[in-house]
Amino acid sequence: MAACVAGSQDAFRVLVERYQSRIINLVYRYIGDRSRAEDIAQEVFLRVFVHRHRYRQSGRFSTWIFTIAANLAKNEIRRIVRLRGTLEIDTVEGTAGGPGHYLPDKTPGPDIDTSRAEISSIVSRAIRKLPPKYREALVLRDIEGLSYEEIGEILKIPGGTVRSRINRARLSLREKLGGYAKRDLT
Amino acid sequence: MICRDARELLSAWIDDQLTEAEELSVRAHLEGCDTCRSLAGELESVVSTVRSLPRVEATGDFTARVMGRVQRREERRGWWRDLLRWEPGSLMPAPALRVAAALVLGLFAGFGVAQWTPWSTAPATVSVDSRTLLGESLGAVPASAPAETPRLAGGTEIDYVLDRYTVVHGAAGAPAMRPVLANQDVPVRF
Repeated sequence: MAACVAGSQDAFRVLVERYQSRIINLVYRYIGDRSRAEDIAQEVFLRVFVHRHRYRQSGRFSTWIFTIAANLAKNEIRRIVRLRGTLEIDTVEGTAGGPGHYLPDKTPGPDIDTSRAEISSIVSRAIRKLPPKYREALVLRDIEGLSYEEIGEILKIPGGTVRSRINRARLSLREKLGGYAKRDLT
Repeated sequence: MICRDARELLSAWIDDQLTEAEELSVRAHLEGCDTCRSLAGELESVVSTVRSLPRVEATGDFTARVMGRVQRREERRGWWRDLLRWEPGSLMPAPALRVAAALVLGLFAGFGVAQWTPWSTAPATVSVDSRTLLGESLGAVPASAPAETPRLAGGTEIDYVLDRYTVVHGAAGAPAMRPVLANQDVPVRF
């Protein structure tokens, strides 16, 4: 990063290659649109380059870039909400029913022959239907594997709140997934 | 510990984020509560499922597109960006500020030169004793001869010259200032 701050485009290229997958994943889990997630990820890296002088060497680079990515992803969600003229993006997607309403069939349990891709799609949709403040905590913890401390820094919330949001996100996801939660996708 | 409190701590327990005292309390509760133990197992399954989601990979040209945007941005900003850029730690101001400071200094210098009138071209001014002014015509003092003490036509010495004003010492010794028309060859009348 020091070389990048000095203006080296080669050093910046290494950063892009190292973090692109994580940033795209993070944004994708926030907004659920793969193509748009790549556009926003590009914007994240552009901002990193433009504002590289603001990066504090004392902090972790991953925390800094994830903060930028989370903020841009949240901006995108707000933009979508404005376009749809609703108060909450989840309200738009969740008006058809209560927990688990989007599941193709509520009777199937973990033992049915559901394809891995289908379960992945169901879990992804369930994550997108979480309230944003729970979704972002869950994504940062369980998708990106960040520590509670880093999550607190990125979301600017105290440790107790991080703990609470992650717990509520998982409890809510458990309700939405029902038996699908016990499937391992690997 | 009651069930409600234990459920609040289950995720942190799974992630090993509890204090030692909390850990002991939760563990003791789970050993005696089938419902919470079952819930803890389901939450572990949720975590496992989410963590096993396939990762979205970047398209092959992602890096090239990012670098292209960086390059275009650098080119678009062009030379004036360099003018505005100040290197951290440098004692020199940004180049643009240096240019602006030079222009301001240049303007001030030009204005000063335009306004400055050298001694040799100063308007003829005279300083006379008020006794000689009463109805007396005075000849303009040659401006090109500052080295000599200017004198009135009648031979009275001029006390001193102050820009475009003449300092006149009256009979009582009180000085008075009067404007003098510049470069007049005709006698100046007070």
